[in-house]
Amino acid sequence: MPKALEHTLIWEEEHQQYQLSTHGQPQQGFYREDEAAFSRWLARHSSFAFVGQAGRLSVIKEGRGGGTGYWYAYRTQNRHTHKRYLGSTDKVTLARLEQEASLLTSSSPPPVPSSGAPSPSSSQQRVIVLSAKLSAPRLPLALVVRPRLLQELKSISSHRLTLLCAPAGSGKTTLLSAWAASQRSAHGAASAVVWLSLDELDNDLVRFWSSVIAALRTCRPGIGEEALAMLHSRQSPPLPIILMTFLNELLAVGREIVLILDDYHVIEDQTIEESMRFLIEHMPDHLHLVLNSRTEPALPLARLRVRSQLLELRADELHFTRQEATSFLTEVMNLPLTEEDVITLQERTEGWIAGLQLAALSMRRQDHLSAWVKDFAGSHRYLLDYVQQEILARLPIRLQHFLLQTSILTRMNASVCQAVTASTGEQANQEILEELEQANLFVVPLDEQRQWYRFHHLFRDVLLVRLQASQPENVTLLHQRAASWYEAQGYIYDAMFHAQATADGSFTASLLERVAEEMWLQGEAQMVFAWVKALPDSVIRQHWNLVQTAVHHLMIRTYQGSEEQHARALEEMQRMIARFEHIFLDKGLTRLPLTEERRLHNRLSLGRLWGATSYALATRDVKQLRPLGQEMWPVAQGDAVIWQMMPLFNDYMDAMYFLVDMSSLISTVQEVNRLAEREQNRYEFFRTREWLARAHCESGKLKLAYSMCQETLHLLEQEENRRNFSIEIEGHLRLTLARLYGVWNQQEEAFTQLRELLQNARSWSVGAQLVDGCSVWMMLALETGRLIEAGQALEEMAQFKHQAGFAYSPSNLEARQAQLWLAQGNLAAAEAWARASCPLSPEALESVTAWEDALTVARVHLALGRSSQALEVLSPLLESAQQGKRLWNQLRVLALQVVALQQSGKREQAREVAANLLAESEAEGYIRVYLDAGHSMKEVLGTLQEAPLDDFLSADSLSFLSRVLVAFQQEEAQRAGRARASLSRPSSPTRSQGLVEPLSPQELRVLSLLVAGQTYEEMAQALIVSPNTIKTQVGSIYRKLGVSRRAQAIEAAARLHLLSSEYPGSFGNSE
Amino acid sequence: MYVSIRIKGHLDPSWQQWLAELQIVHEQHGTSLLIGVLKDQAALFAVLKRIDQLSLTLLSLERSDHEGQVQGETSV
Repeated sequence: MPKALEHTLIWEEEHQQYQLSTHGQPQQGFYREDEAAFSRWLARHSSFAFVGQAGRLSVIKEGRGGGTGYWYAYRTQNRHTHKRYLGSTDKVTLARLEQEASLLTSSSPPPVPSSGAPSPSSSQQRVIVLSAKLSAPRLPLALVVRPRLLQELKSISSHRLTLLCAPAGSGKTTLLSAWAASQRSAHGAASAVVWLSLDELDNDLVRFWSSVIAALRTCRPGIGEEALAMLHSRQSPPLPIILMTFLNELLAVGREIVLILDDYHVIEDQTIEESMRFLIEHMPDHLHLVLNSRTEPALPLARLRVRSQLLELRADELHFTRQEATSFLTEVMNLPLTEEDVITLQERTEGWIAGLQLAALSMRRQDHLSAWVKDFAGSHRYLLDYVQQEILARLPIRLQHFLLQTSILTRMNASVCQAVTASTGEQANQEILEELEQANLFVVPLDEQRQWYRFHHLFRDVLLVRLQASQPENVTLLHQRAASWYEAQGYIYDAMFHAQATADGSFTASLLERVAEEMWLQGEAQMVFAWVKALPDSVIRQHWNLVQTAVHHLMIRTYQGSEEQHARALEEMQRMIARFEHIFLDKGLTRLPLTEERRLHNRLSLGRLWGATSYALATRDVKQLRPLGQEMWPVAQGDAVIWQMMPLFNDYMDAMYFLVDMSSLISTVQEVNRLAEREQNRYEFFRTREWLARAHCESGKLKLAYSMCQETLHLLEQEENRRNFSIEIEGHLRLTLARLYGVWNQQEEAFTQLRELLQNARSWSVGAQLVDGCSVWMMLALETGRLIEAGQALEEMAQFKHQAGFAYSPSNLEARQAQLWLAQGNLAAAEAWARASCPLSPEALESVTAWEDALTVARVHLALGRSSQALEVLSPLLESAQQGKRLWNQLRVLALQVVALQQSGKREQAREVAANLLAESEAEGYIRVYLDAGHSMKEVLGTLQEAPLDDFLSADSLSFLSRVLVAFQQEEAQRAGRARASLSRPSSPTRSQGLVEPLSPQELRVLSLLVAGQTYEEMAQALIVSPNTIKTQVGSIYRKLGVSRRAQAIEAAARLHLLSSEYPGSFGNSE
Repeated sequence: MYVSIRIKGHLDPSWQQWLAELQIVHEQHGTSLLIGVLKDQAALFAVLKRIDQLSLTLLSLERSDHEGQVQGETSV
């Protein structure tokens, strides 16, 4: 379920100000010149959506804790996120936001209008919406033309919201249908009036918006594809992101659209109401919303009224005037009434249209009309009660039966009527429907073809009461027939609606057993669970497998989500386990067969153990994973694939946290993968392939991992139901690909994968992948000498870690910081960190984080020239890497050993270890590990090339050795090129320098001259400004760097690489 | 919870089961009282929703925790 709304800042044309709202509620307004007030607000917040005159942005503060940090602007369009760096809080002004919005809007062209063929995947519509819901009902044969109201409705196109609010039977739907028909005849196909008849089933956020999108697609085919995918994904992003994505698409349409939501009063769900408030606040000006409702909707009507954005028609205006009543009774119904009669009827019904219709129908067979009218006027009878005695009772029995039996249907066609009445001949049913329409008996035709009809709501209520009173024993049967019909047609929601109305739990459960698989495939685990939860205990006992599988799907749907989402699902699972225990302790109920009982108890144990796994991961108490896995396997073995996924995930995470031997994990994953393929568990099939790719990568089978990634990505693209899991699995595959490219020293390919991954992870708010993505990005940035970028990635990692949930790879931020210090040359800080991290026992080194920490400690020692200490740390590391059969880990240790031995003068040993390293790394092409080891490594390799060690080096190793040396040369050339480039253009504009407040381009120029040792006079001459200006600028530089003397400034410039690196700017930048 | 709901018009007694089994009492001057016991406020809102569904005109509403304290009960 998408998360709730946060802050929005929206330009309001008529007030010429920016309105700030929180959760859709207006908080305060800022005029253009209120920059100071805005800045104060900004200081206390870290994200908001901006909708300015020039366009839209998501604005997010990223970076350090304690209130400092940098602001970034994002704009997502067509699955691509464009990001721009804004700077510190004082740089983020309203004017600046407009400027950025305009830049990002122009840099992201609107999507090609999709008036032609819908995009390929749009055919796989998630929720099948009955086409009858998407067209305006046909006009009744007995229609009173109402020019005064149609005239009013002309101004729909100049209002944001039009509200028709009146009791049932006031003619709201008919009036709007007439208006829609007039638009169609005036504008033909170009008329963009979109109709959606809501019903109780739409009281679900996902279904509601799916229906709205389906309705809009009747005029803009293919629209809302991305929003639909987001709504149905396992990992729904926050609601404002989904709505903004959708609104941006609508904005690009640029043509007038009127969206009519009929029967809006059925909507009671608060999140839908909240999303509607968001829609009304943010929707583009060319979209006009029309709501037909019996009750006043929970929307900011007063505010819209004040802004003249609301057009309202209420009961008083909708009631028939005397003239309309006359026209209806005497012309349309063709009743020979006197003027006095009409006045009497008008007064008695107060112009209520349904009342007048009832009166007219009741009068039809009366001989003395005036006497009847008089009697009618004198009576206090409730008008609807005329239906029973005056209208129904006089119909032929076959029609009476038909009406009563079909009254359980919210909509009907001949086929469903035939099914429900168990009559023969669809044609006969069609004739009855048309007969009822002709006789004005409250059936409303819903389409031009006269296929779908519905009863007038009021009339249906009367019929339902009669049905309940006259044949209560048949009600369940009728609903069962309706459910079966809808099921056969593939309308699962409608089938479930009728099944639940039967109050026959077994019937409902059997239906669910047939449709659940399809629902799960479409990502509807929450819905299925809600249905299952509503079943009575006795039925749950009978259908325990269905119930447990529903719980399982709820768990896997949320396990990649936020910790909060998962915790909620976990709670549901635990409540269900408790309920099961209660149900099966009840000895009064019949016992299950022994094998079933055993399986049931195994599942319950598995559920409890899974709860423990989730808890262990959430609290990072990961030592629990292995014993949990050992307990889980015996109870999952032999069960279906989905149940084996639980211990498998447990073991996979164990292998991510600890350097355990991967080989047994790999064979288990392969086994489950084959089973998933055979049993056509598509999600499990892809998930296990993604795990396999990662496991191969970790254990050093890089080529295998690579082909697994590419193949799986390819398969995913062709997968029909991929949308609710592809984003996550694709993300993990890209992460593995990026790691592989990194190891092979193909940095650009690695960055490409990461960019794609991070764009998706951001637009979908997949916290775990943001952390993992930033983590890999940081390593790549460090390796390629982009230190500022590496620092930013580190900051982002720290920030996203809290949103990540638990399914991400372990990494220690402090060790990462130490690596950054090393790269920056800040040896003092790195040393202090290394001193604080105590030496570890070999057993402790089984932990991936502890191992990586220790490796970093070894690097610090090497940087400080303490080679013997480095060697001491390295040897247990090699041992645990070998035990875990992690080739990359082993190679990294060997490489550092080569450096340490070389530094300590043990050249021959260094050559031997290097030869060993070459032999181990050659087959899979690990190049990066050499480059990272630096100059000493190059020296050793150079001597190996000149004088190879015959016993050690094969021909393959030697040719690999030459490749590595070429890579060294290329990298040196690149670095030199970058250094030259930055020297020749010290004025290159910088976007970020790892400073709280970045230096301006001019300040950078001054700094470079300052470092070069020039006097203020010389600088002034060189830059053609006054010495006083230079003085001011130097002061500003000192302040930003936090220094007070030139020597300190030079030191800071070196430490922060302000002048030597090429300032790649905020990463992920699409420029 | 005892409730008494006054609506406009004389409602046929067959609606009783539709309205949470509240008794329908016709009064003089063309009004009806729906009176009886409801479980809680949620049940009351369900009845009000039904009243709205049927486009009935609501005139007054009283509730009390004690019998005999709502309008009309003595006249039943």
